[in-house]
Amino acid sequence: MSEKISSAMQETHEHYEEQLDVAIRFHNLSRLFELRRAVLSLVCQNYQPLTIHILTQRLSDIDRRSMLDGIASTILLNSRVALKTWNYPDEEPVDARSALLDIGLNKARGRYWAILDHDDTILPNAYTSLIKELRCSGAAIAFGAIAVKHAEVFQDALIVKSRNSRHFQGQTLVDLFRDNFCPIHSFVVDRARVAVEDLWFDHELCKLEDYDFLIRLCSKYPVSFELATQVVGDYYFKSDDSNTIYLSPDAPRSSINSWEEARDIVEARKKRLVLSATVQRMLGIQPADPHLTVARAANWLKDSP
Amino acid sequence: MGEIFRIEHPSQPLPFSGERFTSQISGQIEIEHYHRYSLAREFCRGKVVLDVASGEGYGAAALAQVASRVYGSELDFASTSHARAAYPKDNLFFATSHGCRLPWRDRSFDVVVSFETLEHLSEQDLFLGEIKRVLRSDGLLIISTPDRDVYSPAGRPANEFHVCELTRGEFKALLGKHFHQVSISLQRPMMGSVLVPETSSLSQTKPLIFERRGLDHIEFELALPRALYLIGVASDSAVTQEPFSLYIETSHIDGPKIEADELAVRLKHSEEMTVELELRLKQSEEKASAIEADVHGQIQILTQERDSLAAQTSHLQELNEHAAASSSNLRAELESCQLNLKRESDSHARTLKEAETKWKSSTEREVELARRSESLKASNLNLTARELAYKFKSKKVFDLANERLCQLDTIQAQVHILETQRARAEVHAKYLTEQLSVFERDLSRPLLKLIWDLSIASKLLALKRLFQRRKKRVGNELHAPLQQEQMSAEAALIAHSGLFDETWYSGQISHISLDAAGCIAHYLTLGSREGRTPNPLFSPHWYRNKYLDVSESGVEPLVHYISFGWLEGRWPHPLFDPEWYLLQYPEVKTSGLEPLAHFLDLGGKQGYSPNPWFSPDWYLSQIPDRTNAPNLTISSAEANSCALFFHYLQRGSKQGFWPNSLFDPAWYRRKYAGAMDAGLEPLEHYVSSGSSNGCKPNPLFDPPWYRETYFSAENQFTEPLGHYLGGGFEEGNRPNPLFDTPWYQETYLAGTANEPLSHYLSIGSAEGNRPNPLFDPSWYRVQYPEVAVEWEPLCHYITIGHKAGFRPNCLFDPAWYLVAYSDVAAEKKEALCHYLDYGSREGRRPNRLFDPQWYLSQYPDVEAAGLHALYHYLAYGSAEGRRPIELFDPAWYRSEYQHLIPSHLEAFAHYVFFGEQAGLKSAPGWNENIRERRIRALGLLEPPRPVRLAAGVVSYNSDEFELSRCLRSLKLAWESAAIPESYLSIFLIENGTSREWKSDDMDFKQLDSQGNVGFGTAHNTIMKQAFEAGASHYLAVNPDGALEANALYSLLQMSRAAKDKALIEALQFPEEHPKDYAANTFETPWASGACLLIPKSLYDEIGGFDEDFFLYCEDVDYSWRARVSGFRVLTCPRALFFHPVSDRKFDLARHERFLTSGLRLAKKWGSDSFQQLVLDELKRHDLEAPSPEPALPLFDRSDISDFSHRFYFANPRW
Repeated sequence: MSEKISSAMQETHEHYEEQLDVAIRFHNLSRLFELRRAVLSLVCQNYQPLTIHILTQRLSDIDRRSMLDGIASTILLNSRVALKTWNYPDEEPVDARSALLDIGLNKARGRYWAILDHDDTILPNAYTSLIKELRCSGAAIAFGAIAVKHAEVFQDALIVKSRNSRHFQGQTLVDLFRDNFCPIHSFVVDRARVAVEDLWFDHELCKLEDYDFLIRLCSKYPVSFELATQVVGDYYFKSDDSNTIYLSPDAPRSSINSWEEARDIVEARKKRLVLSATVQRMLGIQPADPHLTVARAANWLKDSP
Repeated sequence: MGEIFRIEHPSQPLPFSGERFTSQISGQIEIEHYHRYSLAREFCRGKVVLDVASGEGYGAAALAQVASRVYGSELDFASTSHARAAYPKDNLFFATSHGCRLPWRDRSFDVVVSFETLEHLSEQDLFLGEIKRVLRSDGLLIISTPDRDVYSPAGRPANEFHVCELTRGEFKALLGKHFHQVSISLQRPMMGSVLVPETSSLSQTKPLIFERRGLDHIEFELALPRALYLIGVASDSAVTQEPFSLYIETSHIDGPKIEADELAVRLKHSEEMTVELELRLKQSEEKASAIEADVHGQIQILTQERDSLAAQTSHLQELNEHAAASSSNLRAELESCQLNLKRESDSHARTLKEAETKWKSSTEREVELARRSESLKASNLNLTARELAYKFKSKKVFDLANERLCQLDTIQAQVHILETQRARAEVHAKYLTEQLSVFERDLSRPLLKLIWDLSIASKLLALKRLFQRRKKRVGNELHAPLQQEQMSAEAALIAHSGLFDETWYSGQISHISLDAAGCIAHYLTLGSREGRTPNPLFSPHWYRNKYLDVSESGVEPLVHYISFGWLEGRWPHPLFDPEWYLLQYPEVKTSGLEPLAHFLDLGGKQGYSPNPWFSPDWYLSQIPDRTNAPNLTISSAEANSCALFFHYLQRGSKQGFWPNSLFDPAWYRRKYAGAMDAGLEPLEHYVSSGSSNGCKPNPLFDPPWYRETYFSAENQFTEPLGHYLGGGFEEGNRPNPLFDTPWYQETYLAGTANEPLSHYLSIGSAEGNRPNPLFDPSWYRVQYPEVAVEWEPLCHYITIGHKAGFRPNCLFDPAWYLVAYSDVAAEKKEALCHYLDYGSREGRRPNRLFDPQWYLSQYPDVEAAGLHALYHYLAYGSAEGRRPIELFDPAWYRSEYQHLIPSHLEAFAHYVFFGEQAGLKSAPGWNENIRERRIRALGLLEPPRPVRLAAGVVSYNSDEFELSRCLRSLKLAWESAAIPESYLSIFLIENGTSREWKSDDMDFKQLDSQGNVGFGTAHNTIMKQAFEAGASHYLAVNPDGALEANALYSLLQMSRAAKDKALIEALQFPEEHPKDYAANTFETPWASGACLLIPKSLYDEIGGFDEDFFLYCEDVDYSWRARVSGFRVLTCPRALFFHPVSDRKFDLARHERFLTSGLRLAKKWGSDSFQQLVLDELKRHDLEAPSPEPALPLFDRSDISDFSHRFYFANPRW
């Protein structure tokens, strides 16, 4: 079946002004059923053209073929959706999640860029709404809301028990400066509005790498939270503890440490990053304060809308 | 948006010698080189490339970004080494070699690049021959060189490194000599503007070139004039024309200037910062010097102090010895003092006896005078009567009467004096008695205390003498007639108010002996200003501070209170609330009496309270055995509420007695020691300011929360504790979010009028009573033994425990709850409180495993009793052996792992927090059984058998793309199911505008349209034809959806497992329908028609859809009919059907169809209430109800139909 999608995977030098590239990281073949769901939600997007970049980490050729076989029929549903796969071959770092996203950024050819975790899904009109908002607002990033579904995993099925569309609390830029309420698939970046030197992920981080990315971009470029209450996708909170963000009170010390270290790095960044004049103007601060950092803004602008 | 690639820079650039470009320099030469390499990069994608004269290596590195492999050749060894170190890439290699002697085999390269090299060589033919040797037969050379005519015209100094520059013609000829195909491009850096057509390719465009020539002229040409460089592309195979290429360095010319300006500003800022920092550094250095000097000085001082201390130590030793000697002297003096005190005591006893004798005598005189007074009163009455009779007749009689009246006044004054003398004698006797008891007690105290008392006693004797002298003087002064009329009026006012207690007052001025009038006069002239109080509940000092208008007016507070204050609702004391008193005791209000005077005179005796916070009964109940508490000194005669209250204020508060069941003065004093004014009694502080500032009367009463929860804006000034005690608790109000008053009352105090919180504090907590259904104090004490020492459990949980993740019972996990439900954390709600108030009702889980919804559905008696699922399990369920979740058997678990489970821990709690992680089983073979049940239900044990499937799509003017996607998904899903292609037949029927659908890659049959006959009717048409043609199953598919590749396979597996006795729906994706389905059997109340598998056996049994439904609800009706006929209705969670429903906006026409179908369903299945609901909804939208239909219900199966969840027709999961 993987041969059938070779045409969809042809390397192309065409650059689309309208194209959306979506990066999906994938490293565990036993979760292929989740990847299929994620890809289906992309293939059936109303927004097109769209290219899916599946970024794998040290996947063998056999596994790669199995993965492609698993999603081939889904990809073939829509000829305007292309698929590309990229493998990260190096042994270091062991957890290359930031490096994978950097590959996703470098391989993107479209103007718009987004990320989707392999175990989450996006609603059909999500990217249409977010890109429309980017075009209307002139923002560099547009955010939507994500609902949470609590699900039990059984074999290749997710048995959803409940759904909460208000799980992630926050609606504004200042809320984001305080804490991350924007899951990785809640936003789209307009690459044309962001300098290429700002589009990178910190390889030091194997947790909160997306939050770090957002903090850096949102402190410099205009962003839009107009759609912060419109649900654009689902986050699956699963019974088998396979969520990356889930941190129970009984989690191993090493895991807690790794979260705390990542948080320290991001908090330190918040204390260093100065808000650009554009962002300050957006927040109603005029004239701009040359020393206003993200951390200070988060604290100072407590009651700002 | 295009590809963005990185410009490769070495960490350390090579120095620029003029011979070759390095990244040390920028400007025009940098632009020229970057442009050439960027262009060459496009020719090198996926190729093997040689870069001759690669120099610093940046160009080769750029090519290596896209090429398969790149080799750099460079004559200069240092450059090669540098390049190798600077660009360590797996597909990039550098070698030191001469261009005319390349160290590679023949035909090694797809592309050779050599920029600005040719002119450096004299053996140009040899160089090109060598390049041709290493190029493959269809290889490509990209080479550049300056045009001598432009680059080195006559008069311009020659480039010292160029050996042989060529003209354009010479260059072209040279390339043509070695290659069959040559193409030349011209390169010229410039500053200008570019105009490019929006659509056509640049290479197809003939450029129109304009060049400014001097100030006033522009030259127009069709080719690039005066190009400095020539770029040749040569090959033996066909050479495509080099593309028209632009290199844009910056988008606006003024950019560098702006950047320079910005840099200048930053530089200036930096310079200013430097100056400032230098200044600060200087200041810091000065400060450091000063500190150093200061430290030095302090060291000296400390040294001196150390010496001084040594001297003092020796001096103290001497004093110690001296004290020992003095001690024996003092012992002797003590014995002497004891003798003196005995004598003093005897003297006092004698004085007391004399006073008693005087009192007896004065009593007799008082009786005599009273008798005379009565006689005179009678005479007075007689005189008054005579005066009335003869008042206009005899002035003499009138004078006589006046005289008699004067005599009466005199006699009354004498009576008053005698009464005052008697009171003074009483006070004196009491004082002497107290002194005697004090002395007697003190005699038994240790030596030092006696010495101190001795000095006090001597001081008292001195003071006594002093006061006797002053008494005489002041007494003389006060007995003099009051001069001022106002003073006289105020004194009369006070005397008749009932608010002046001369006994009380005399006690405050015991050094002076005064009668009542004297006391009042003293109060008015001195006492009020000195803060003395006319009675225990009037504080002039407090009154002045509280009511500044009174203070400013200069009116004496008591006079003000009597005249105006109480009528205006002003308080005489921080703990006397006149308004409350009048409300509480309406007869006082009716009588028109001033409330405080009433309380002092009558109310106290009747057991009335002075305020909402003092409960006389409660207070008295704390001191049941007065013999064991001699310090209380409350005699039975005094034990009225007034005396008790005075007792509380004077002594009780300090001794730790509570004024009511919820105010703990000792705790309050400790807790708010910093906030309380010195000398203020805790209850006074609480009522005055503490409550409004958030102070608590005890650890479990939360005034701010109470105020926020129960008070509206109008009664925000009501005091919460008073409100709670005054009836709030009877209304079910909670003292804090976690104390459930009604529940506690009903559970532990049924039939009593006890206040629940005080019961909990005094008895309940210790007995293990729960303050709410889910807080277990006994468990908390056992689980956290360190708490038990000092804390009441609930208090600990509220104050510290919940923040530290302590669990209020063995199964509620607050830490997990806040992680799992971040909306709760975001709202800063306490987890248990949220669960009790909302979470339980919303079906949220108290821990990772306990499923309240399952528990309630499994045990309907629990829901019927209105109990929390978790509470029921903890209180009864566990003991009764009920399962908390389907997968857990408590009895089995406890018997299986009894050696692991602590006795105090409930079995399921052990499993949740320890057992599951340790891999313990939850039930005997249960996990396997559940797993097997699911596997069996899903049919995972065997593949689907090949069936003849007919898929039917009913279109209504469908979107062409969507319909095509739907049909393609059917074909792909069928291929994934690995069933012969001939077994699948696809039918399409168009209900909308008649049109013929076509597809290149899909084989389907379009049936003749019958017009817009409705969803069910159209499907029935297809089904009839399909089943008649031999299909065994029918799949109804909506045209706007798409099947996931494995969907068909999964549906057929499940159908086989159900022996084709089931109606099976695919799971809608990505937004599922919220209706519930069983997690193990996957049974669901009804199945959606969006993607529905119908076996022929069902069609044979009940036929197709009810054609009376035009659109909507026909699937609900069909499902219920299937269930009536004994078929199961299932959801297949493995079969995903993409169906975009989340972004549908409200459409009135669609809504009307929906309501019409709902009405039909309600009539058919006999739900009057739902019919009414639909009719109301139609009316709300100004829609007409459909014409009447058969009134009688066709089905009466309330066990199957479900109208209690509105249009969900099933219990929704969210």
